[in-house]
Amino acid sequence: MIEMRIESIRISLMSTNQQVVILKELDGERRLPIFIGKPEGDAIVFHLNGVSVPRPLTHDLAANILNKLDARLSHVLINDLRHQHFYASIIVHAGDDEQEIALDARPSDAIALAVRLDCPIFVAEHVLDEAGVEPLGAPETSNKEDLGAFSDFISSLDLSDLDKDK
Amino acid sequence: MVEVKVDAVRVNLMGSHRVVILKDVESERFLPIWIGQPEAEAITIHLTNTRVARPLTHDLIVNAIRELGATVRYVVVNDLREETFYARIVLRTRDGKDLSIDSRPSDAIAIAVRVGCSIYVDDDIMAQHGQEPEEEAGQESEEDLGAFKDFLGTLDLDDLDKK
Repeated sequence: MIEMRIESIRISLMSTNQQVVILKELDGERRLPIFIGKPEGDAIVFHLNGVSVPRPLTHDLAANILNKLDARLSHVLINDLRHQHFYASIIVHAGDDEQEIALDARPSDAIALAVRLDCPIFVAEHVLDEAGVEPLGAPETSNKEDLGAFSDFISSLDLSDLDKDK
Repeated sequence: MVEVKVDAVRVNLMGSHRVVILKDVESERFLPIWIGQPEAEAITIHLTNTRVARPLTHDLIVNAIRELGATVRYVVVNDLREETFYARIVLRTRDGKDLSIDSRPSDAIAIAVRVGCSIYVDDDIMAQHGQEPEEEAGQESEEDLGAFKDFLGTLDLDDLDKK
């Protein structure tokens, strides 16, 4: 398992119903782009931006239910990739004996819960090996000044390249 | 508390909102509640038995409740403030304790249809905001009024939208 953090959430210009969450390796440079639905993307962004809502959103409700039932979210794990769909589970510890329970989830729901309940996000090694993206040729190995415009151009390509992969 | 059932989820053709129609199980009164598109889909996907490869958010919630040894007793639409409905989900824990949790009506309903529990509406809310269906044409000769009834039927949705 490799620990990740949320690097950004991007909007796909090609489809208003899709967003891309970019997870970045905590101890490395690889990124994992995951397409998620707009409601789930909003659920993550609202929480990260501290947007306050008068009534609990669906993931607030899920987090409240876990809290009220004395279940503690230990971590979430993106554990599989099949037919271009990522699969995840949320791992909770419950009861006096801290019994471990794993529940199937979509990565978007798992991440929306992880940001609310402040738990780490992991990706299985084989998933990151298969779908992880290395950053394009690091410009710091060359003369930065010479390549400034070129690296700007490469940066501007980054998002579209990711979009085309899936 | 008045027990209701999900009678319909309707699409507003003018926007992304949906209306869920909660009908009194013992009368013709109904309560329309505006809900968001994702929550409407969460309700209809389950009611139409649509298969999904991965659990949706409400499936995850229901699985979590079940795995943690709790059950959903009922959900209730219990408040209306500034044109916004509020609901609660009442859970019974493994130890037999009841817990009441704040929710939007849409989430409460999406959970209720999954676990098959009762849905209630507070008496005062139903009394003040419940609607009676348009005067039934049943007392007249059905045959004479067939075309007119059809026409009324097509107006129904628009009337709701204006509320």
